Amino acid sequence: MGVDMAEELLKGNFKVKNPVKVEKQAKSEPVHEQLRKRALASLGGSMVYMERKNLTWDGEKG
Amino acid sequence: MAKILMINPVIREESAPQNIPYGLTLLAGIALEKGHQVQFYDENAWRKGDKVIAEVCKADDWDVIAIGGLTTTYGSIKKILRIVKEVSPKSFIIAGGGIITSMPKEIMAWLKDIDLGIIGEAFVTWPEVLAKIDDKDFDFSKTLGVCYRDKEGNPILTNVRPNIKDLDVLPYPAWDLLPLEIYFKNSQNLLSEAAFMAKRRIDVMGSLGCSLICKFCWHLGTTGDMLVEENEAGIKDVRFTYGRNIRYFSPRYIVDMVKILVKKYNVDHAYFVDENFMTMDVASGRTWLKELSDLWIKEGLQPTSRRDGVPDDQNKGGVFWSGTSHASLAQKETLDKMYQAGCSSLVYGIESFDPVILKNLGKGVTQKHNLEAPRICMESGIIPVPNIMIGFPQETFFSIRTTIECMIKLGIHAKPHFATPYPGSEWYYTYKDSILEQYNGDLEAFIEDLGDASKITAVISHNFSPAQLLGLQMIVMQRNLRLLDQTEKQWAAANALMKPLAVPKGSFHMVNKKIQAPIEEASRAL
Repeated sequence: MGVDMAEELLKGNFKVKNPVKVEKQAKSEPVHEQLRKRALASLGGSMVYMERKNLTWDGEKG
Repeated sequence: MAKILMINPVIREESAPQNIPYGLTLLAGIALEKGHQVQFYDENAWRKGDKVIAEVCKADDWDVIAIGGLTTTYGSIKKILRIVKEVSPKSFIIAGGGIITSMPKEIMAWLKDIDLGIIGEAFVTWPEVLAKIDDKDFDFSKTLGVCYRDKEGNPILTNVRPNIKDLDVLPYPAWDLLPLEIYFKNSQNLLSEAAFMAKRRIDVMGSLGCSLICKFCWHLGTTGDMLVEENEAGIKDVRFTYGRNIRYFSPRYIVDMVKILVKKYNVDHAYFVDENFMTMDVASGRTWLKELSDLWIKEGLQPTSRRDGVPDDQNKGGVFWSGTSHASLAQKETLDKMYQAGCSSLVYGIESFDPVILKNLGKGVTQKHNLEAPRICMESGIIPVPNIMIGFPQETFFSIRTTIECMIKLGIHAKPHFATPYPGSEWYYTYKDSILEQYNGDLEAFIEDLGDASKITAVISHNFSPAQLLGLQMIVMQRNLRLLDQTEKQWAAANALMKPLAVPKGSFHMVNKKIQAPIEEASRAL
């Protein structure tokens, strides 16, 4: 993402000292996050969702 | 002049950005008019996260960083302020809006990085504060409508700032500072066929406040309802009353604003975020909405489908609009005019069809009004959006049954909201002890939990538990009277043994009287 796009993040009536630069991956949420949000908003019946991370159980030890 | 960074926090993280920040951009417009150096970052639109917020804070040497919003933005504001203080520690942090007005002492205690809170209406206070900062004068003890910190960091409230007399003196919001294309992508909504087709919808405001005293609602000083007085301990704090300063923009102000929005951004739908169109119309002697509709047509904003009398899916241009109504105050003649001008939908806070609940709500409607109003609205061509709520303090199986029966009669499908005691509302102060009990004494946890009332936070029903209310919500959505009967039969014996979660109590913060807060005597430029 170039500076032009980054500058649009801040809008105002003067030029800022350090225009904001955004790394490309920050442009949009990763697909798994987008999917997670949409899925959680659609829960019901056979529409279920399982967390990819943050599982509280990590398997039987030993 | 001070360099000001204004940050719009995230509203409703669970849904795409669609609520355009009206108040904050209006204040940005005022600051620009006064000649300040202003930059605006809309995290609600961009949703870029912590790293970018930090970059924004490093973009310049900000004299002031200002933030604000509804109480439901608390979590986002808390996160943003933590970054602000770390990255830009010398900036003077100002917070405003509902989040701080409803509970200034608590918010200043929880968010210690806030240097100054603007309490109530900010139109005059905000530029006055900025002028003082320009003069390096940080003594706000004589400034009306603020919560400043004393030398020990304790929050001190000053007296209430009078409402301005004439809203037309306000500039238009500084929409140029927003990434509007992000909001336009989410223009479509499902409230009407016209809104479903919207490609460039924008929020506008035609009035402030409402004349009614619904116990679930809050105005937070914008409608002459707020006092600052000493509590039992001799400490000044906010109190809310039934006082009402009714104010609305002139049709000329509104129509000229929408014409600019069409010219600059090609908007095709104006969503009025007003609390209640109809109380304003009543206050105007039933002229305001008719004049607005006439001017909308005269100035060429009328959708062609309404002009030509064809279905809206054949519309070729013009601007549809939508807003809020009231069951006992809407009149057929006015609705017909509004339809002609392009009004596509009106939200009716029906809430319940039960006479006991309605009587206790302060809304000024009866079951008969609620039954007739949606039909009259539909006959005008405007789509009514009848909101339903459950979990009222007086809710019973009987009241739920009444509501379902009326929903079936009127063809209403709804997944009801839960009665929620938002800070600033009469319910909040009446049930504050019960709220605390339900959150193990942690009020901040309750505030962070608040959303759009589609989930249960604190229960204020005297009869039902959270589990029961969740089940009842599904039963109402399914309009299933058989399940309701079975549930009532099963629970009848258990109910007699249950201790209610919510018990009402009086509070210093709520004055159940019509005590008018001050308003300026005459119109004046800001």
